[in-house]
Amino acid sequence: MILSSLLLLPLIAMGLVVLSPNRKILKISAIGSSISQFLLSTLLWLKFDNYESGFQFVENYNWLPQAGIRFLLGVDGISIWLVLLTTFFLPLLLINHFKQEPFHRALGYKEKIFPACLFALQGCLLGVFLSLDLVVFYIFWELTLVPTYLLLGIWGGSRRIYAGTKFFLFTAIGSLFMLVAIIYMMLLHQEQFGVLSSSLFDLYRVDLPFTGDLISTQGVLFFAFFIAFAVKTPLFPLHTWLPDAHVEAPTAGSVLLAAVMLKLGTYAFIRYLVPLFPQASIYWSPWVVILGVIGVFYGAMMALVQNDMKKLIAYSSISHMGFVVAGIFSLNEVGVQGALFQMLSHGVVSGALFLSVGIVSERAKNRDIDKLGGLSNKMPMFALVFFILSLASIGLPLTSGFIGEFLILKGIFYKYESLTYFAVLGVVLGAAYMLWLFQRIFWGKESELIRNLVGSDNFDLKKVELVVFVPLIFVILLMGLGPNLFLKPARPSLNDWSTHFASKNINALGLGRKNE
Amino acid sequence: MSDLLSLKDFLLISPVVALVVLGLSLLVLKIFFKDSPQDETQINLIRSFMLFGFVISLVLVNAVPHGETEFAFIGALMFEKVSGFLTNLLLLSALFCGVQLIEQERKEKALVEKVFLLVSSTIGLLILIWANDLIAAFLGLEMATLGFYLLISLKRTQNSAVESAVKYFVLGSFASGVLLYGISFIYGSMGTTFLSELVRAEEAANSGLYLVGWLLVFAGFAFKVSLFPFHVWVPDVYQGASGSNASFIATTGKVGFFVALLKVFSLKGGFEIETFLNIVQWLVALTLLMGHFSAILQSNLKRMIAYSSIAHSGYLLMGAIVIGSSGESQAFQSFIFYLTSYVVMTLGVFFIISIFEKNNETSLEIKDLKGLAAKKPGLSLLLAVFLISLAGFPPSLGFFAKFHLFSVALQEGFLWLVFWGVLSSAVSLYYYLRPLIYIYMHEDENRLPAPMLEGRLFKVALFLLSTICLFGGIFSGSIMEVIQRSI
Repeated sequence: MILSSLLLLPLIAMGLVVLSPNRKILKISAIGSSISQFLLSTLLWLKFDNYESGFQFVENYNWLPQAGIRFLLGVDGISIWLVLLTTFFLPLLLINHFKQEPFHRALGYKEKIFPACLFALQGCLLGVFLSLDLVVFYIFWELTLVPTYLLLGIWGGSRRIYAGTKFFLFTAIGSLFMLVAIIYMMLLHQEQFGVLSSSLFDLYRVDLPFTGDLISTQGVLFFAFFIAFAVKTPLFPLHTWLPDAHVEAPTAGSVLLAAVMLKLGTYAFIRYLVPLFPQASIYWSPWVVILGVIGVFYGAMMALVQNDMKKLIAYSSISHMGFVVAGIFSLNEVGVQGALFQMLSHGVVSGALFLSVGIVSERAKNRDIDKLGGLSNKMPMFALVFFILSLASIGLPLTSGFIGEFLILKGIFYKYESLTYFAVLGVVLGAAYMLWLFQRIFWGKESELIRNLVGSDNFDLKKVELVVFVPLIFVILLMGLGPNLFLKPARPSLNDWSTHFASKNINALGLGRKNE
Repeated sequence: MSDLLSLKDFLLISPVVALVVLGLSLLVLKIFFKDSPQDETQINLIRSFMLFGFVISLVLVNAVPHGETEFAFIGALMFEKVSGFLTNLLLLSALFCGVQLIEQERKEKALVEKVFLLVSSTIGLLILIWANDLIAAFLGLEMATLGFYLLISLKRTQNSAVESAVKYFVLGSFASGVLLYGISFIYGSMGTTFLSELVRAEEAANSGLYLVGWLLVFAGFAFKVSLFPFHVWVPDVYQGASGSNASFIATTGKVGFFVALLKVFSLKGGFEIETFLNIVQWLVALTLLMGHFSAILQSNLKRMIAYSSIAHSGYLLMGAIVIGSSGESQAFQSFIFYLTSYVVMTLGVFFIISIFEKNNETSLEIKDLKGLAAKKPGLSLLLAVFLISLAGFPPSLGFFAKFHLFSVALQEGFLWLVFWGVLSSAVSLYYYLRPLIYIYMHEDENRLPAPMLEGRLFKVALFLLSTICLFGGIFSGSIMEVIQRSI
């Protein structure tokens, strides 16, 4: 029941938010329900059995018996932390959102829709992580677009409609062929086992012939899924929607986009693509790893030359997600563990970075790096926070970023030694752009823009904002100091994952060398 | 079939009898109405008459028992098990259109005549979907379309309405001529026009005359359901006609015509002939292409919906092909599900369009929707629901309609058609989003006065439509069960 109530709570919260008569109740109901959701997911984590490899808290309802679709929910070591990540961010975002005193007295519909959109997005994201039925997964996957589109289009910057529509069309079109592939797999299941079913467990058993070229059943299905996930990740040649979307999105939107939505694609790689199409995954894994490494490199190079802070962080996201993809497609346990860890770490770090970009642009009404400078005199506390975040983004040891990158590099090194050097170069570039960004914004002479800002006494982080940032930094340090806490629940599931993988591939590559 | 006429025949067509009584009593009612336009009591009277007549008709459809397959009027009409569901669907959609008509045109002249024409068109469509004889089908079709022409042209003061009526009339009667010509070929080669006898006539299936006849009949129907090379009239007619008339043609009319097309072609000759099957597959592909791509270019909301309805005809034809080539009940279920959901979504959009049209003379441009969400959040949400459902976005009704349709099509091996269908619905996302962009993401410019949602019955109807649209997808299992039981 705990999983379905996790999905139900955002709906109730939406209702509460939309029906709230005044601003105070709106604020209390929004923040209150987001915190209760976080508490519920913490309860889920506390009750989670770390030594169990299969799915836990499984709920199974009949939905569309004619089409073999079930409402099947479950959580395992791979998804448990992503669920927590999703619920962890929302209270912080809402606290940050409601900190300002509004200009208008009347409560417009836009003010109500904003938290409602956030709750809707959260519900859909949780649905993606929790569902174990491919059609239900697809529905949640597509549904995430609607609230994101509204967030982008209504509260975004000047080019919001272009960015929003581009985002919508890229991801929606990318995933339409996945739908055909899902239906096709369901029919194959019917052919082989006699009943229609879209449950993940059933589809794992479907025998898909693979001959090593594109025009085999498994190859075509692989690509139908792969493109959908790669767009969302975003993987290198399909990434162009991301910088636009981030630049135009409002702070809360880009935080959720970076922190959680980008993880949908990589999560789906681990959960769906590789286990469903193991031979095709192995066959094409070198190319995907190369694309990932190109993404690492390309994202970092692009980040170096950006003048818009938000765009810089957006490109750094592409770089980091390239790491994650490379880690997953190294197809060994270490790499995938690293990828999972990096997903969490990037979620927290990039989310926090986007929040801080939001704070800079609130204060200075500008995000251009060349117009900012010498901020550290006016906001020392913020400078410290941003510094810690930059270090975590670079992957300094003792922060969360290090563990993930290290494990991924180790995973890639097992199989593609030469590619590892390029990937490491990406890390170096990462240090370059983040430190340079920090230097240009916080150090040096105060720029004209900063000097002219009035009210310097209350310029630094307010108490409310500290409430937002302290948990984030705490989590970053916790992940860096005690990674085992985060890796432990995933280990049995990943072990199971690779055995499943090996059982489908007699000559599975590289799996013998795991845990050396 | 021994007696020429029996009581049973009249029992079987009792829904039509009820409608005939309704239509005649409306005309009698008109005698007592002196001044036009109507006052409030007169509108109420018309409304209650219409409601009463349709409810009686619906009750009769479901109350009169009949067996699996029954014939009436010397075999001219055939009642199958599925006819019950389709008749219900047709009557309900006609009733919704009637509600919309009365609400939109309450201040216009000749309301009684319009309602009468709507009823008589419905009668024609009912005869069309029951027809077993091609001649009876033709009569029903002509009766229905005559009503359409008149309905549109009754708005004499508006040039665009007259223009669209004339266009529809000229092209439509030409198409009817083609249809009749085709029927004569079939009669010439087979000596009968009864579908149930044509099924049994195997030997002549390959004669050239017979094939040409079918092709012409198909062309006639393709015009009526707006398939690719015969679709050009649709946007002009929809734009010129008032919202309620356009919705009547687009929903009730399409249900009738499509069911007739399906009945004629899945029975015999049609989809089993290989070349013909190929042609029709291409028509599906081209209809989808034309409909979706032209819709992108439109700036008028009604024209856009017109092209979208052309594209939806493509999907429906895909369903018809699957039925024709497999004959499985599953394919039939998904076709009917698609038809039902198409009717619900399109009715919903036209309901909202007619709210706009009631207040303003001009037909609605997409740009006019700017900033609607700030003025009318509820109405905007409804329009968003209908458009998103038309786009086939999960988990709306439209998504499940496409899902079931593509499932059966894939099962029958129409891989490329499904592929094409998915690709074109990807294109369609763009234009279905455009009104939403204007509604939600642009600032209000106060171009048009805020539309007012009035009329209790109208509100109830709109509420019903949006509820079905929103939750019909989630509960599509039970809807499918209802359909399964009825066929």
